[in-house]
Amino acid sequence: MPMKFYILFLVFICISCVASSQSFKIIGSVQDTSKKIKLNQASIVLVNSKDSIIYADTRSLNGVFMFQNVVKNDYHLIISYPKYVDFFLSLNLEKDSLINLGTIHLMDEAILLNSVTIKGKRVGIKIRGDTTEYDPAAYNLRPNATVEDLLKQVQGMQVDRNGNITAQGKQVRRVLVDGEEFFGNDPTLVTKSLRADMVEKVQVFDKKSDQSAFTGINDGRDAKTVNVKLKRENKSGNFGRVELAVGNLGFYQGQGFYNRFHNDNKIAAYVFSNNTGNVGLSKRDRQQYSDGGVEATYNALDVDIWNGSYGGRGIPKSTGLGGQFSNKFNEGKVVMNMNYSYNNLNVLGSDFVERQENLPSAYLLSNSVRKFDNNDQKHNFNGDLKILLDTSSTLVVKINAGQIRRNTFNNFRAEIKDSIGNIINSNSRLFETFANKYAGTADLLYLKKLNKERRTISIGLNLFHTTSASSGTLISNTNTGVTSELNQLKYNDDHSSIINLKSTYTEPLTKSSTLSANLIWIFNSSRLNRETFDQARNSQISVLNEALSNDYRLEQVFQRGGLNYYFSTKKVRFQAGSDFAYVNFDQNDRSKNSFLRKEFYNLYPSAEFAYNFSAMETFSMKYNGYPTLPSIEQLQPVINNTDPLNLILGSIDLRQSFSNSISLNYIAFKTAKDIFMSGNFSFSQIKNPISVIVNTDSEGLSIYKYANLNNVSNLRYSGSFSYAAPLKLSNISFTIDGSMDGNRLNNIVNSKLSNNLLNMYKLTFGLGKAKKGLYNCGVSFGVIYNTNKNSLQPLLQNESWGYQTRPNLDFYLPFKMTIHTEVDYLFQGKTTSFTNDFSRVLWNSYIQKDFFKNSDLSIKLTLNDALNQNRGFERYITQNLVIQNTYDTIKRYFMFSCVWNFKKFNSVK
Amino acid sequence: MSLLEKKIYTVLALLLIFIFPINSSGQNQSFIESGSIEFERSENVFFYLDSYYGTLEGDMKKYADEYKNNNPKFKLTSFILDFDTNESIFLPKSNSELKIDFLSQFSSENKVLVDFKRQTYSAQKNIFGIKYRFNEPIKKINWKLTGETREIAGFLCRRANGLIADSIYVVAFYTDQITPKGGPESFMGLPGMILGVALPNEHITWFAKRYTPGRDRQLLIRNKLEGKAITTSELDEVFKNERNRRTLNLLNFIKRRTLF
Repeated sequence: MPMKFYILFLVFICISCVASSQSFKIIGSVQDTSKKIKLNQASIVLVNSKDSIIYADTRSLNGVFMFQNVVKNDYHLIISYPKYVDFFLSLNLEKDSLINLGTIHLMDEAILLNSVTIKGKRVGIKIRGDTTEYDPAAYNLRPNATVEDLLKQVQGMQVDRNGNITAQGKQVRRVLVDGEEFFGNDPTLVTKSLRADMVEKVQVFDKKSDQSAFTGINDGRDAKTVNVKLKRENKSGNFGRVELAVGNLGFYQGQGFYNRFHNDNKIAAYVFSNNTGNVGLSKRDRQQYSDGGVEATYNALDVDIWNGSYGGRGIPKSTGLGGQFSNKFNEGKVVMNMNYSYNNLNVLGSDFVERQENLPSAYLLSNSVRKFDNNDQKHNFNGDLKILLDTSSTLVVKINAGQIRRNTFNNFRAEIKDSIGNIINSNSRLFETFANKYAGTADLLYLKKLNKERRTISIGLNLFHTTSASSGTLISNTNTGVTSELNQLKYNDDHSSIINLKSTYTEPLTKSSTLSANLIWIFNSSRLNRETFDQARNSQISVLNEALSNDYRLEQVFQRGGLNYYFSTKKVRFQAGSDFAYVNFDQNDRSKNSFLRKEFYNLYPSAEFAYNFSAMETFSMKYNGYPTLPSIEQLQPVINNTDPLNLILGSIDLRQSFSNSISLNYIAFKTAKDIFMSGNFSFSQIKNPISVIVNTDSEGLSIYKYANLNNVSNLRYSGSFSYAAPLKLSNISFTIDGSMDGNRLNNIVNSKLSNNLLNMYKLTFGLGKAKKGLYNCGVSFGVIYNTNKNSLQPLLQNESWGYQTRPNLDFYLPFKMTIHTEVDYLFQGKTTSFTNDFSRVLWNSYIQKDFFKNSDLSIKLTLNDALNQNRGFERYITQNLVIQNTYDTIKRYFMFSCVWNFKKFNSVK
Repeated sequence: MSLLEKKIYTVLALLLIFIFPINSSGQNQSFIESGSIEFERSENVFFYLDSYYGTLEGDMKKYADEYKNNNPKFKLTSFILDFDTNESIFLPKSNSELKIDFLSQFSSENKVLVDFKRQTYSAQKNIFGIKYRFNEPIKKINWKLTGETREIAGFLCRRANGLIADSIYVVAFYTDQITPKGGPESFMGLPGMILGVALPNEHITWFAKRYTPGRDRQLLIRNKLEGKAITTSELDEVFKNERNRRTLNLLNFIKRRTLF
């Protein structure tokens, strides 16, 4: 009899154990941050993470609260108390059946409200863990303001003239929409096409790489990311913008964006065409992402080195279109994203280069004028697929492919004078080239979590291939007292393939520390075949010029492995470790049938330390050591004579250089007083650098040969700081930014060591004030100071001062009209080598009128460069050369434009 | 005790004196547990007339046009919600001021009595001219909390969206400064008092206009719930019988009004 009871009792216990292991108890207490007072009757709500449905709610009693019998799920906990900032916490209930949240501190709203310059009772900023959230409704925005306009007003964020965003000191590399990529390779397409009134909130956080997010270790390699979350009613519907503009002198601009969202299904398309240099030009050229490039990568070893970008030089004409499709399937287990883009760019113009070349016994001054007419057409396709195979493993597949067709036409005239002013050399040449390039990458990444937290394994395979076939005609006439003529046909054929296999294993050592081991195998094969044929005048026969032709191959095999130790708590992050690699470096000169085998043993040490004073104040230090191996065009033993006065020659004996680099960073955002500050300093030393040996003869002909400089180091250093705060008097915002860049570079000129020291300093002050509905104005003033000294010509020190000021003003008038005006005044003083000052005033303004209730339609009259003073201007110093470059650029025009915004959202279900 | 021990104890004692009071005092914001809230209900009557009476001919059409000519588009009615942590009563502010029109027979002047402890409520509704009395457990609504906030009657309210009877979309604003989990009509269950309700598809809203402390004890006594006791399934029967007299469109409209 008693046995039956015991058995029943046991069974009952077992059942209740099983039952209770599925239900949780959550306890915690709530206190005021500064006064440490317990908060009574605070509202605590538990909400499902997935759909925000309220699961349960309770009130605190004497500061303490409790939830019982909570079903296993992912929740958000929201604590609120009148006059305090809401507190949010994500809870993923996993193992422990009792979750003790400890004491939660709420911040007094009065502190936050005083700092945010808005009217009304909504608080614009929320801090949730490591994410900062901004509420668009709390900012002064025009009715059809875009997300870019919103970001310009948000504390801690800066948007420059091109739309590039910097948040809390770091450049934003990605802008996501609802957590997903949206035209990933051009974040300005999101910020310029989405309207701020469609946005629920904007989140800023550091997005970890796929591998880092998976393994759970903070490897410090984050990318500053902005996530735009759309309002619920804007998740389903379509919206877009069409802009048409026409100006005098043949200027025109047209763009259209169309987006159709239906919850997880997003389709977007854009098309543009303009000759004003505004949309879709320079940003697309830059490869910005380290998580597997989103735009195809090409080699730059063509007959002409132009990289297909506008860069502000010349008059551009650009047309492009693109489309994006993304969707989620299988309850979010499969996420797919595809996009295609096409761009046709034509740039035509002229530029003028003045150059001072420092030699041991003299210096030479040269002038050259170049007229160019270049065209670049590119196609790019991206696809990525992320599959959650099960709760512990993910597969990520990325494909990227592209094609470029490029042609360039250049007409040069150059003259070299000696220090007295005699012309010792003159050259005129015509250079026309064609290039056809292909590139493709495939990335496969498999990530698996093993049975313990932070015990993971990941395997990645990356395949890359690019080929380029380019050809050109060089017709050149040089006069040094004696004339010489060149009529050459050039062909470059270059291929590059890389196979990269990497696997990482991580193992948790203690609650805060992890060890990771990695193994990498890389095979990198490249081939550069250069051929030059001389064509005699009045003859169809072309003969191979052997001094200028060579077929070279380079094969590198890396076997690399390493260990890294990570320690991370809420306050401290520390990392130290190193990789070790054995490299087989095989050089093969196919023209001469000779081989050269080298072996390198490389070390890649790194260490990092970061300290979080609080959620919004961090200090970090980083050290990195790495080798740089010589590249195929530096090794190839062939003369490159595309500039017959400046020949370039490779050297097969090059060895690697080694760099040590350190950087320090500090960033803080004091929310209570709305003060933002950041500072950073970095320094790197390159030992045994791959530099050039220059020999210039008395006729001004220079030959540059690559070589390692032994027993000599190149140095680069830079520092910057930034401070932004509102001034106490009448809500004026104040910013101050300073930066310093410098380097000490060495090369050998006519057998003497040339040591070049360069320092640039810049300090800028800014003031701004806005009154909602009336005006928005600001002004910045900057001072620039440059010095340059070269050991070969110590008397020719270059020192110059420059100033730049940029006032801007927006006036909001009745009848929905806006006037905008901005001025950019730049002054650069003369130096020892350049005896003219440079100054220009750029004045741009427009007047705009909006129509309809939502300002859907706008008409705008723009005047660009009213004083017709725009001139391209650049001064830079490299090795033993000081160069000043002035070039054609777009000048004064006026333009009449019409912008129509449309949006239609389906009612929410 | 040695001198050192004495010193340690003194320091400890002093520390305790200073720490304890800080630890044990709680902060009590002025949370509201009882009082009276005046609500204003707004109905877009022209919309009802156009949707449900517009197609009819004859008398009804005439009535509709005449109504539109003599009345404002939005009909405003005042209600009182008198509550404490145990119970609440919701009823029209003044019977004499109630407008008599075509809506009077479609649960326009509900009286609702809620028992928070037992989680049940009783409602008196006038449907088709007959007073009915319902007695039900408080329905569990799945409220979706949004981040949106709004100020109503001087209180900061949060927005939650929900669905009633699987088809009626509700937007409600509640404040956690008033602790009982009640609201106008039969809308309740949010982590605080509901001060605003909107049914976008029904073109009807209730918003609190003012809060006054102090309860009127007489209210409950003077307003006992009357009417024929009925359950929801029995009500369905009543609607079935009305089928031949009114259009389906209108009938569904009236039926939806009985749901809140």
